[in-house]
Amino acid sequence: MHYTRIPGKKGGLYRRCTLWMGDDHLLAVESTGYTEQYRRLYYKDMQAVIIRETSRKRDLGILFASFAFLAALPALIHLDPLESPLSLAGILTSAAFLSLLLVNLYKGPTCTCSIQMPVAVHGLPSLRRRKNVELFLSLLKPRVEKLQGKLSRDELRAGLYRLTVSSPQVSPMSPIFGGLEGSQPRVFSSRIHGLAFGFLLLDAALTWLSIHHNNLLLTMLNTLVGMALFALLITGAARQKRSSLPAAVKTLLWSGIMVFLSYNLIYWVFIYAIFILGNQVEVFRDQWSLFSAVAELNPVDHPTLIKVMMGYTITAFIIGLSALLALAMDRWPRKTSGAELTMRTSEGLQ
Amino acid sequence: MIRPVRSGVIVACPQCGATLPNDVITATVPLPCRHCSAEVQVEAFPALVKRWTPSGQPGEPLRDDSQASCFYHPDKLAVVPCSNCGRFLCSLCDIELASERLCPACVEQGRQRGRLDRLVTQRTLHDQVALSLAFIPLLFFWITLVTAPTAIYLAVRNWNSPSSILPRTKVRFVLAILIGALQILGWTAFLAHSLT
Repeated sequence: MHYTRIPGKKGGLYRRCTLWMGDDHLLAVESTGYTEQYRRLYYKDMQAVIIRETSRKRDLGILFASFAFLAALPALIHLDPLESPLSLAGILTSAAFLSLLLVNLYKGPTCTCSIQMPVAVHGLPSLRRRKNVELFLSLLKPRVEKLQGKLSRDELRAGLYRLTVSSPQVSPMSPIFGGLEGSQPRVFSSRIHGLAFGFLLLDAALTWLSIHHNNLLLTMLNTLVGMALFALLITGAARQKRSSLPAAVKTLLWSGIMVFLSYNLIYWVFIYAIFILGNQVEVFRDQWSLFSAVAELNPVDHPTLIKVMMGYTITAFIIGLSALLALAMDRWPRKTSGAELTMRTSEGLQ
Repeated sequence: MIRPVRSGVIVACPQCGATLPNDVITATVPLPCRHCSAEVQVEAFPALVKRWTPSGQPGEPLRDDSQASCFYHPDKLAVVPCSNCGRFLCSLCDIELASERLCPACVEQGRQRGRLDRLVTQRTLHDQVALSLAFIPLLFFWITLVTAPTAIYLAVRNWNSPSSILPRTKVRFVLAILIGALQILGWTAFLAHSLT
């Protein structure tokens, strides 16, 4: 059997997905490096290719541009970058991110692609760019048409009408996937996410304040906000599964959780190290003593602690603002009226 | 990712799972899902609206004794011989696989022995295993005393074993044997030098 490789792949830490085209079937290969798993999708059974546009290109663009900007900051502050090795390293890192940004722009819009077969819908993770999907469709269509024949738009419309009429028990909006059976697909209100990202910004602001004006009230407030933030992040993560939220928001929520947990872990390890190395073990006798000692701690005396807190503040701000922006952009089309949707639909039909 | 299709549903939104309206399925440009606003485009094929169910046809009964009968069903008319064993088969026993017509026994035998590439769902890449075993232990040096001969053994042992069904050369096997042999030579020289 002769196989032709379809451009595009999805690589992970230990798995790589590729797609190959054979004489009478598509071969989806999932490789670990030492084993390969195959799925064969026969042209004669293919019912439809479903493409969904994603915001991955835009998200990656924002991410790379932000990192490029952050890496270039030391060089922008010190106007002569060659004098400072940090600035030089920053410029090189920034150049690397800018090249990634250019590659991302060159590769074009992103999407997900899946194939509907008689009993299942198979995702094709290797096809993540619109350009690759177009090429894939141009290769696939003649092969499928050779086995199944051609289907005009009128025939498709008539066939769909026939199917809809012959299956009256199926509501036009009924869900298809397991777990949603018997209920409408959940359109997520995104309020929890909005609150979580708002609290992330608040937490970042309080952390920023505590660098300069650490006191008992601020420490208590910061702790309370941190606890509420953690609860909101966990609730959001639990509720976003199978919701219609954009992938970018879901990823940003997980990034928020990772950043929050990492910061708290590093912060508390550092605090414990300060007290243990400073022979102040008496602060561990109860929670209140520890709390008071932390409130009295001046971060300015510990440059590493300031760096950790600054790092968290900047990262949390970037995540919080990007997520709120993504949520705002996502809400806009949901509020579009039915008339506008009909108009867009009729444009598509033309 | 594989999601089951519920009977009666035509095409579902890949994001929220709601059934897509017919105008979205027939459109030539991406249109928003009514539920989640995800921009979706569908490229439909005839099988979507025909929905045939492929199934084996029962064999025709024999009309007279001069006609050849199926090996598995003596009262049914043979329509084709098995491409592998040559037994006569009726239309029910005739299994078309990779442009060959096979009997159920040959298909089962081929599946069990991994001879039918069409039925293979997983393969171990022995060449990659041997090459890694020859290469990666170089980082720890001492364990190459054990891993180098093992890499050569694996390469020789699996030289003819079925590998990936995708185009692949034997260059990894050759490299594994060469690197393993070099390591063994190195160890031999080292031991000879130490002893003398």
